[in-house]
Amino acid sequence: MHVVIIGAGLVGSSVAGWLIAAGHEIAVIDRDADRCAAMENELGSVTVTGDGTEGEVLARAGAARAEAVIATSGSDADNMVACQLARRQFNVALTAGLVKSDDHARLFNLLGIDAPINIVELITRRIQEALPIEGVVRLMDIPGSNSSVMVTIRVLPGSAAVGRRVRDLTLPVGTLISLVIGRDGTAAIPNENTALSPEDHVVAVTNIDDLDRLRDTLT
Amino acid sequence: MTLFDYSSLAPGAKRVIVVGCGGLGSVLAGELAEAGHRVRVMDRDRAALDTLPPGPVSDGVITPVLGDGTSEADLLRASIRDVDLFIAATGSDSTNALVAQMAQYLFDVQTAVCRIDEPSRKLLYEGLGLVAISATGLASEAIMTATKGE
Repeated sequence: MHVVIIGAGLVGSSVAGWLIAAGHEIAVIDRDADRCAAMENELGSVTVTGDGTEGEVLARAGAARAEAVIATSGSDADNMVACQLARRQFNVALTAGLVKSDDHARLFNLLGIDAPINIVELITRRIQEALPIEGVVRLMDIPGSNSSVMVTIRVLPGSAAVGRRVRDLTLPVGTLISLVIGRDGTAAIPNENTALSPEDHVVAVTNIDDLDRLRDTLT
Repeated sequence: MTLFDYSSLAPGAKRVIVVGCGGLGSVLAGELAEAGHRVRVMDRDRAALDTLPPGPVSDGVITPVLGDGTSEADLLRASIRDVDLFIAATGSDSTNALVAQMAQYLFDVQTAVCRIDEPSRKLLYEGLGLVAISATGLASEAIMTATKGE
């Protein structure tokens, strides 16, 4: 398929290389002629020098026959405009855009941008996963709800929850424990008699306002 | 609670937020104030806010707000929830489109106006329900009209 990428920076270059290796046709748009030249040295003549938030430049990059447009510039505003132009002016089926703030990620969703990629959130999540401390890792915001999140919480060895059954835990109202992953990696759907062990990872759906209480219960 | 006192607001007067206090934003704020409207002007740069006309500022008709118009928290601080008209007048088309759509989608502002100079973007956002104004377009139209008049 043909994919238009906006931005020849680190993310744009990496995605471009991956798509070419997978056999797809790409065009990469960047305002900076030097960055375009550097990319052409690596990947061949795949670049268009210009502003990816202008219809004429998107047209030159073949947006009209593109199946996806991926906006990877450093500006939330530019990524938003590029995705909206791609959809409205060129009927591109899939639009994806990098976004750096939660406010803007929410707006991208409302605007129908298919894949808003919240890079700050992604990086924060990887750091949370990498750090060997207790805490809550947010897996996803539940679609269609303003306040429900899916999280995973590690049961600490000294926690009062160790050895207790699910029904004996004082969980915030509306909290659902959906999966318990043991230290050996086996995942089980818990029932009310399931007892928690140290180092279990508990996957739960809860209200965002109850996150701290849920963590206190389990860690 | 609102930061702003509307007790003396005349009938027909509008509560307006202008984001961007460059040449356009500053002049626009002055004219809106002159026409009896109540204006808050937001900019990240204090020096830009200092270009606002001092009279209406000291009378409280124009309120400068130091802040980032692309931040939800800062827009709330400027009481965006009780605004009648929202104008995005920074020097960047993309920023204006972003800010105006935040007003439209996150805060349900009825009328969002934004300065968009590039033609394909202007067409896009007019189609999406924003009032898009091209400063360069208006200037060239005015010049063409003046040329014909001679």
